Amino acid sequence: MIADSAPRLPREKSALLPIAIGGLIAGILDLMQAFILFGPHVPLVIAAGLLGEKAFHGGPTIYVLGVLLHFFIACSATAIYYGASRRLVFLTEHPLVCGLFYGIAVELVMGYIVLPLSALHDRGPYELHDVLQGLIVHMIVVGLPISFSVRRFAK
Amino acid sequence: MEDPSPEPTRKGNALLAIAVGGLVAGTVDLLQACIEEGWDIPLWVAAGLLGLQATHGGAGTWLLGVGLHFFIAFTAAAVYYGASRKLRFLTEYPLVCGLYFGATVKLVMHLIVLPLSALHQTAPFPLHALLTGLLQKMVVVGLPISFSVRRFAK
Repeated sequence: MIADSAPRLPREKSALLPIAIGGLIAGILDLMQAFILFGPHVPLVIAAGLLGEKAFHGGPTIYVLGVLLHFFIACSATAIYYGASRRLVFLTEHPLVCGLFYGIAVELVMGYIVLPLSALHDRGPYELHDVLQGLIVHMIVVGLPISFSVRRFAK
Repeated sequence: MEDPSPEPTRKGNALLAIAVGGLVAGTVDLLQACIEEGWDIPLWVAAGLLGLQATHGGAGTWLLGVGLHFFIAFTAAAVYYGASRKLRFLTEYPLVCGLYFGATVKLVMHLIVLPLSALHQTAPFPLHALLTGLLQKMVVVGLPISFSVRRFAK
């Protein structure tokens, strides 16, 4: 930030790279853990967040839509971390602790704000085990890939 | 990092930061809980240690609950102070870090400490309880602690 005398073009390029790589890795890892924990129908549930419960019985198109929505969210989460890291420099200086905490923020916002407002209207009540598992899993598979890719590619 | 002050002053600052942060956070949090849930809340805090029969306790149990509550508040402030010795951004950005710390305190207390306590609180909880609990703790616990550590132990 202080010693930033580089021309405009390379800086914009260096924003896309961390967001793309962070979103891709976080998205892939998160989708993999969801497949393992909940089964291969998960993208249909994601699509149902937009289309409502009828998407549970959707075909390959709905399935692909779910996967795309998932990666759209993963890249959005990475873009927010990247944007915040331009002002809050410690986000790139301490990627371990900040990444783990960012995973908590993503899980809380997605699970307890976005999902209740989505077409799934998922408003709980929530089992302790599910809440803990969701937080811990997303701290690792979402928070860390995002923080370390922003550190690596946009410091 | 560039702290030239002698050791005793730093120790004093540590105690002051933890004392003020824990006291303000504990007082505001307890008042808010009592106004919202009733003045028998300290009995429920004590029940986390003694079990459900403490909810029928007298003045002694009530005082024990208040003491436990402030012990937890001071512990939370001490954790923030301790972390801030290595993670300097905790004193540099008290607003964002304090709000985050308040949410962490809420999650640790609600999801780990309460289920392990003598209350064995593992029942499913509604969305509204989680969201209001998080927002309240972010403001009334997180911010007093972070700003106190910044003010007295930067």
